[in-house]
Amino acid sequence: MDNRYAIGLFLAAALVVLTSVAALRAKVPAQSGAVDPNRRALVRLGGVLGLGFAGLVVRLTSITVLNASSTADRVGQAPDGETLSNPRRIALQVDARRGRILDRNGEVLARSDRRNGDWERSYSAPEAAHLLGYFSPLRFGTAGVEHSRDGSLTGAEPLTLGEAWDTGILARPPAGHDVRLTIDLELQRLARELLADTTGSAILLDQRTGRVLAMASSPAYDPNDLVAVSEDQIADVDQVWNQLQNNDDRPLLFRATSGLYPPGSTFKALVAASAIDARAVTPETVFTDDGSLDVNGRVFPEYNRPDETKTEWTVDEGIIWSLNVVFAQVGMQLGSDRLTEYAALFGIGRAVEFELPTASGQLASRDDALQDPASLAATSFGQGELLVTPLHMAMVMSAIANGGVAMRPLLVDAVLDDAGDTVTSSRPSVARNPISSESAATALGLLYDSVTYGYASGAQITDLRVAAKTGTAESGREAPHGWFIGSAGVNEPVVTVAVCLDFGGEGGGRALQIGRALLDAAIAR
Amino acid sequence: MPESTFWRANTWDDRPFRHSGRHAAYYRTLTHGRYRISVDVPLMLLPVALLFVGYAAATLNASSGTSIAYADLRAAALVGAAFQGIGIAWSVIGLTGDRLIFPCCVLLAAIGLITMRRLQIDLGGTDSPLGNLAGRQTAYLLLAFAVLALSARWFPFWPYLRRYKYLTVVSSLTLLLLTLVAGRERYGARLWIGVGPLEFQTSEFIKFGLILFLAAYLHEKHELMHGTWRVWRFDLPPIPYLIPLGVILLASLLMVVAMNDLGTALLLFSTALAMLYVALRKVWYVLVSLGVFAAGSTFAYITFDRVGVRIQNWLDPWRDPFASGYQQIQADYAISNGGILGTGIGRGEPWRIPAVHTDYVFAAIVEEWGLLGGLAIILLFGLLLYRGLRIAARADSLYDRYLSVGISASIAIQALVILGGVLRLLPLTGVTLPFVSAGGTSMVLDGLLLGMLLNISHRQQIGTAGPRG
Repeated sequence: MDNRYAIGLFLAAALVVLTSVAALRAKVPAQSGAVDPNRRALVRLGGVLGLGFAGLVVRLTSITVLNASSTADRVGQAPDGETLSNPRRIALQVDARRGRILDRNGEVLARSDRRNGDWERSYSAPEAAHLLGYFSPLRFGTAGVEHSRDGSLTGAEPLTLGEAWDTGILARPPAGHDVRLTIDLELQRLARELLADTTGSAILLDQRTGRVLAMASSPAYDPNDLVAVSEDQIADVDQVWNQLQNNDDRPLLFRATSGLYPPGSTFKALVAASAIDARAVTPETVFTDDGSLDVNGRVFPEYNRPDETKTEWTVDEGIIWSLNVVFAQVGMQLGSDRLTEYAALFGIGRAVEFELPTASGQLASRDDALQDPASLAATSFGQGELLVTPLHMAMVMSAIANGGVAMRPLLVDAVLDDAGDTVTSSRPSVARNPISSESAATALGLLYDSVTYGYASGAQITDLRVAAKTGTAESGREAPHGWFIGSAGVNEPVVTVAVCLDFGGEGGGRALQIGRALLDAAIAR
Repeated sequence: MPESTFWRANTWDDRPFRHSGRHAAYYRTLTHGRYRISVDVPLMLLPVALLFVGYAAATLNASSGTSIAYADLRAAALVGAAFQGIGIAWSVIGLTGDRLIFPCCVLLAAIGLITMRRLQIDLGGTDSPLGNLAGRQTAYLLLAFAVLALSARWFPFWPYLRRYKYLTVVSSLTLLLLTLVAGRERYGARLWIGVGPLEFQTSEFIKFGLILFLAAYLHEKHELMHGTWRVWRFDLPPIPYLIPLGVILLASLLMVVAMNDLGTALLLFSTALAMLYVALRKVWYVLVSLGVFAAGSTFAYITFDRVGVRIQNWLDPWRDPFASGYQQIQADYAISNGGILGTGIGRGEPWRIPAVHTDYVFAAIVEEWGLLGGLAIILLFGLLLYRGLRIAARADSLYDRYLSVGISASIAIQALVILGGVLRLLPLTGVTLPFVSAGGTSMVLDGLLLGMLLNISHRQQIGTAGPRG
């Protein structure tokens, strides 16, 4: 329970006490005995009405202070589909000179200009569509950073004391603050171009700080087409909106944070790191893989063995050749309890804390689903009932490549005032620390081997050390989802990438190409 | 009597000095050669200062205005002078009695006036009927306070109102009937009756009539009502004496319900219940009455659509956000915009609530004055209730006691009904917020009722006997 309720209750109690004490102290003058002493009835009447007043106090405190923002932000829909939202918010958005959105180098991504007396929003970098979101106060509200930092962009918050004094006394319209993102426009453009004619998403993180360098999703939309600040634009933007809504590829969905997929073989990186950290296996532990594995009557076939005659494989070779049968056994060796525990530590099944809304996904549909050995085996090589977002896998990869520590992903670098001075800035912080640095180093070694010898060898980049894992996740359709997670740096990895292509074929194909290009470009910058 | 200083002598309640009967003031003036300025005069400096500041803020913060209009300052000065004048005049004529009730009313009135002045800027176009919201409010207020000031000291109608109690209540009922037949319709309800340019909201008279009737009846039949009615061998409640009460109450309730004035019905019922409880002190009467009321409300809920709509808006206005729930939703938005200190006078957007100056004044006040302003209003009404019940506890006669209970409970309940409605603690039923929201008839009659309450308090203090019936 929020402790602010205590204040409301305290106020109410004070009022009740005040009323009752006051009523009790009302004394009948001693003068005449003619009046019958029905004073208690008066006290009770005062008490009952006083309770009513106390109720008013509690309710008033609740609406003005305790639940003010939920009341003010409430949006409703009439049966005919028209939405009603707080006109004060809309008025503030329409009237205020909205701040700009910049990339990490100060390139303008979104800005507001005067047009016929209205502020019109324009986006010079539609490549960052899902990150920027859209600004459409008269129609669809806001999304993306336009939504999450609306308070800063309109200038409603954070106000310094001096600013609040000025705008208050002089009744000036608030001036919006600029929001500087962590993304690099060049890398963002590249990511968008690489994804151009596919359906999928790519994430590029600076794993040491958690800063997002690029985050793209395809198909996308052009936020310029959704801007509605004056009545005459409404018909146009409605048409665009309906097209976006009715598009089967769902361009409004930000796949990087909200798309849910089975992770396929990329999940083996998590399982290997967990099993090493739990000392259930070492990279040299040998498992038998003779082409298939029967777990309680369910047979898992093995398609990935490079040599059909070899039946003994180490965990290292299991990563290099992405052997499902080996990892089914690694998972069973680790056990369902520990796998569940480590998955939670890595953040699987929980929404990643981020600037934008993120989906939580799941390790399994029920808590006890992994008690069944066959489910445990399937989950251990990334199938089963597993669902993750690409951001989840980027976090997993960055934890392994960053000494066991996954930094909280940051999208907003700083909020700047008119003069370009920093009002607030975001600091890197640790999001998760699932495994020890030694285990992370060992697991990272497996992923280096995967690039050096295995199916991810296409990700090699001259003069750089690259650790990566590809994945091919069964999608329920003929074409699987293609995954690629990787990290690269000159001596040690510094940037992390996660690519997921919907029905994009084998992870070693297109997804790997995109991931490699992004890593290369990020290190080159 | 000891020499008294400005501060010391004027405690909140000027305890009686009974040596001189009705000529206390004359005696004091003679013995000391100077008047005692009572505590309400300095107390009222606050609302007067508030008026000036509020008027200035309202015009300065308006998007069109950049300077304070001379007319505004003049209006504030006029009203402020009237407030202070009443306080000083009462000191001069030696009005004793409660010193806190009038300043409370004045503070409420000042908040209401500033709010009307502020709403007029946004609501009143040049042709708009609301173009002179503040001016009309000022006129009503001056009239109401004149009535209050006079009746506090001089109210010769006591014996008549008491002796002809049936005439009082039946004439107000007749007025209602007349309105029902030939009244003027506004806001979808026929509540007004016109005499030339003057219009009255007649449902306010029934409150006045009913309180006076109940006080007189309960006093007159006091002994009998506490007895029993013996039928053969059974002791029953004094049903023969309860019947006239029930008939009058039922007639009033049915009449206001027929006029679609559910708020007044709730107010009348609760006030009558409060008076009955104090007079008879029998909880089961209250329970039976509540049961009957609940049955009646359920019947109304099932039968009349408009009652169902009110209940639905109370439970969830978002069910129909663009029609019946719209006003309440806009009020919620306005209140939540207030925060602790409010946006400042003239800087909120309370004009987004349809018909804000009638039922939803409180939402406008909370938006611009914040939680603290809202608490102030609630506390002022709480204080009025407390002082009223205190007068009742000290009353010399049962008639005075019942009357003061009726008056103070009716004002408190009226505030509860409308504030509870705006804050969605109760279904919203439209009654005015005494001395704050627009509405001339109710303000004048509330002034009269409070004047009578002060009169009772005055008579207690100087020790004259109550009126003879």
